[in-house]
Amino acid sequence: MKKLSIENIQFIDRYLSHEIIFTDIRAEMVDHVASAIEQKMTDGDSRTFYYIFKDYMIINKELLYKTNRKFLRSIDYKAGKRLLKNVFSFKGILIFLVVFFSFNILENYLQPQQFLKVIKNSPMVILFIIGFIYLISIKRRKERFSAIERLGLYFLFIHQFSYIFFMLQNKDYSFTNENLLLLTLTLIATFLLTLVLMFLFTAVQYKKEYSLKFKNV
Amino acid sequence: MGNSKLYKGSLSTIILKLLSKGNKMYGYEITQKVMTLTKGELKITEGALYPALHKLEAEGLLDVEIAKVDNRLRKYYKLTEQGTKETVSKLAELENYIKTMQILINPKFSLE
Repeated sequence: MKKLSIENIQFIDRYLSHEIIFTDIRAEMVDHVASAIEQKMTDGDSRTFYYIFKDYMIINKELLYKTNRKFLRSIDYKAGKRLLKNVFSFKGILIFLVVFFSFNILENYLQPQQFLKVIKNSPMVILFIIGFIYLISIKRRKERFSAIERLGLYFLFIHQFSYIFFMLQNKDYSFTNENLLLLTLTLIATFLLTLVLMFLFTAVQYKKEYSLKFKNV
Repeated sequence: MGNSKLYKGSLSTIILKLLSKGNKMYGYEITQKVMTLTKGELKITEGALYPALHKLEAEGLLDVEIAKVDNRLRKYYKLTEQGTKETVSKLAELENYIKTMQILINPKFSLE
């Protein structure tokens, strides 16, 4: 079997990287294209690498990119499913309870107006901190991995919910029962905080998995 | 998958069967093996193969191993314990399906 040089492989990688940005998906595609070209060379195609590669891409480029898009869609679905699974896992429920009871303890030490401020602002503040950590860790990585980055889509959803929650509190409520209002707001804030924390937990989970998979490389 | 839509529903079973002998295989190798075994009758395209492999991996039926081979990364797939069990049931399902189709298509030659 004829083998491609490291320069040839880098050429394929660079070419595909314009469309297939994630290392975990592209590595498999590069291997597929390289194997197909090596097979052609072994079967007697005497042209240089460049011409065989060009012909291969003319026929298969769209299919490869379609595979990438399909993979991204399935990753979006899988990442969302895992995030939800984590939110409703034992750990997620435990975090929910800890946050909820922490708010309740805090309520005893603050004035109602001060406590409302905490409830109103805490999801956005925590979201900002975790979002910052998430962005920095993504930017620092040389390699880009699909599930870690596509999970960011759900971060945006959580951000939107938190923002709506934040804005809603600027309105006047017609609640006559102040305790019920406080309980409702505390529950929503607790749920948003749990979502944000489990988002971080899911991202770390994926990071560990990729590190394990790519450890020998 | 080039030849027929009929094969599409059996793609997962084909992959599981190929990996069932304790082999670890990579994507391109699977396409070539299928082509060789079927004497070119069945061609699995990347567009069908990789989503199927990723789905089986997500379902916990396949395990992945990444190695550096010939200057590039290669993703090998192998069956998990759950995958091995699932292969047996999927193959039995497929055999039943083939038998039923034979009865429908060619009633004279069926055993019943």
